[in-house]
Amino acid sequence: MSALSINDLHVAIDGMEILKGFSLEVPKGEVHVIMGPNGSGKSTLAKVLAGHEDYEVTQGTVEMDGVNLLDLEVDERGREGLFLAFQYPTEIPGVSNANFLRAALQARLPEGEDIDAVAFYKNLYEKMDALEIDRSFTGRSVNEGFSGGEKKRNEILQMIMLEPTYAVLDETDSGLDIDALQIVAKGVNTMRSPARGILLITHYQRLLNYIEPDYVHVMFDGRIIRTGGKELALELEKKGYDWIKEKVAVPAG
Amino acid sequence: MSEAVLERGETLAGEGLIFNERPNLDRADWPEWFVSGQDRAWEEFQKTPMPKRTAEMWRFAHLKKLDDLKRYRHAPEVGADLANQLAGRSRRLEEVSGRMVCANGRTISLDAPEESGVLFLSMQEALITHPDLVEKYFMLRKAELGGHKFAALHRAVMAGGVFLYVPEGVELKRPLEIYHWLSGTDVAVFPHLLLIAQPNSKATVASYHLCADDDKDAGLSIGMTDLIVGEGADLSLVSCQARSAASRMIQLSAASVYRDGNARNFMFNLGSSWVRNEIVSYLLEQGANSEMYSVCVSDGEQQVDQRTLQHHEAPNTTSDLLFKNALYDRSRTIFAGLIKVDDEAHGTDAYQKCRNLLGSDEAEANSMPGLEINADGVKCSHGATTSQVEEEELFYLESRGIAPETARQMIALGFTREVISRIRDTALEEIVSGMVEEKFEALGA
Repeated sequence: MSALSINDLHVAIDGMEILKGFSLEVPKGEVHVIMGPNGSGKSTLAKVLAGHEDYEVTQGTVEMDGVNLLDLEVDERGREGLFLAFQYPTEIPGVSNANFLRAALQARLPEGEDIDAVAFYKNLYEKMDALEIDRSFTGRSVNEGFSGGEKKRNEILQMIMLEPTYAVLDETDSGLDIDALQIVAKGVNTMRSPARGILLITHYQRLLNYIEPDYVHVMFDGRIIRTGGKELALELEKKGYDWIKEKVAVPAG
Repeated sequence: MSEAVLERGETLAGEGLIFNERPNLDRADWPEWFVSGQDRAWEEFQKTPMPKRTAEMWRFAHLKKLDDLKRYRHAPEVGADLANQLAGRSRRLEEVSGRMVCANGRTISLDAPEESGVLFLSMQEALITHPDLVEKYFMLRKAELGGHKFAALHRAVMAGGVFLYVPEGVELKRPLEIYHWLSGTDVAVFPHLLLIAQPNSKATVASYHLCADDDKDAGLSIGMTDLIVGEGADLSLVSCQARSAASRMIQLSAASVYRDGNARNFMFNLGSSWVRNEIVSYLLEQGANSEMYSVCVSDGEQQVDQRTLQHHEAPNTTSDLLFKNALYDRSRTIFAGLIKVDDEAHGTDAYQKCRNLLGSDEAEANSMPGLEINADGVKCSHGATTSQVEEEELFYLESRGIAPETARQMIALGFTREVISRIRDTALEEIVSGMVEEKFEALGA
């Protein structure tokens, strides 16, 4: 039961079905990668796992270590140990990164218990240094005026600070130059642990030059159509997504 | 809380009512010009009619609130015990250049700044010791945004307040703190701030309007502020109004800014059931700059009515205005702002922005930005927006485990931060931020 288990998930937005019987199990200790062309439903999967209200689950189950995730509110899922690194992190004007992270950690403490501010900053600065994030970052508003790379690094920083049990990274690699990509990959690799499951959603193979996945899944038209090892990603890179689309199209006809 | 219901047009009988009689002031040592000015103002107050519903300057205002003002009496002196207690509670900033504590209009404690030549006195004393300086700068311009009747009343009965004179070239290293405590029910105070920054001087003043006992006290404040900003001087006033929910306030403020001077006027409205602010700046000489900032967090049935004027009278002057209102429950705000550029004021740069954040479907934000431009080569922009907390911002915070109520509060507090950060004094920013945060926390309670 120590897994993020998605079973026969059907999800619609504005009445249009996007996920069409999606199933996947990410056990603790493993890194899974989902690849797929644009429009295959990758980001919908990420949003629906986090509990975005625009998406309607019409069928299927999602369990996290046996807990029915779909019964939980967005914030409850976060506290339960799920983390979503956003493809497009939201800007929150006037809320500083330090206050934001503090509030998120505070939310995980029992009522009446307060965060030790000194320990918090010590920990935060350590993690920021590892991700090569400047100190002035703590006082800046969350994601406001950040470059694409800064936003993605901020997502990784949050993940490291919040120590989730399951992390879903939605195209965290897109829009990054090679230096930023390496830093992000380093962050993800330090998070690898027998106590944690990681699901990477990506459009490109290049992230996998730095992160060794246990499994690669190919997603198309709302479900997984192929599963393999790292070599599957390389094959996709070489042959392109049309190759997969054709393979799907044949049995359908 | 006493909530005597007054029918429209009815007048209460009894002693000490502010609309009927003036307090017994000891005016023997005050200059003749001031005393006769008071007498004339009392006549003017008596013959000036109450604002009419049809008056543009009172558009959207609930004028019934004005009739309620008739039930207030002149605030009596507070007892020695309470005065001591309040003086002890008047310490928000750790380090200040000076501190004055007023209770029901009387100065009860004063720490004067050490900088040479700085005058930091009660208005009563300034009238006796520096009558010429007061005369030169006191209430120079007529209230022109609708509140002249109340300006006349203020002028007629005013006895308390603060006089600050910063001599040429003197910079106050730390802010001055001024406390306006109010104690009692249905009592009225008339605080006056006369702040004078001589050429190339610099000062920041924090002014708090508070109730001694938020559960019991309910009063009215009709206050006025004169900011005189000399050539190259820099004067900031940060006013925080956090009175009890049953209090009321009329606050009229005017800044006169001379060559290359810089006036910064902040208003934080957190308490009181009804507030009327009239805030004016006069850009009188080349290079003069004025900044007006406001944050209002309103809930319950609160009404905050703000009228502003940025009047560019000289060429190459600049002004900026940023007002932010966060509204909850059935509260209402009114913002009516005018940028006026005179014929000769070429090269004016003037901006005005009012942003409303609606935290409830029943709250009502009225915005009336306005421009009146009579010169060439002028850059002006104005705008008002009203929105709700963005769902995507909430989703982001909540996905990190933050409860929805906390997330909403954080976003609303963040909304006000843009104004708070303009104070540019870290310690004072923290004080103000704490007061705003307290108000947001009380909303959830």
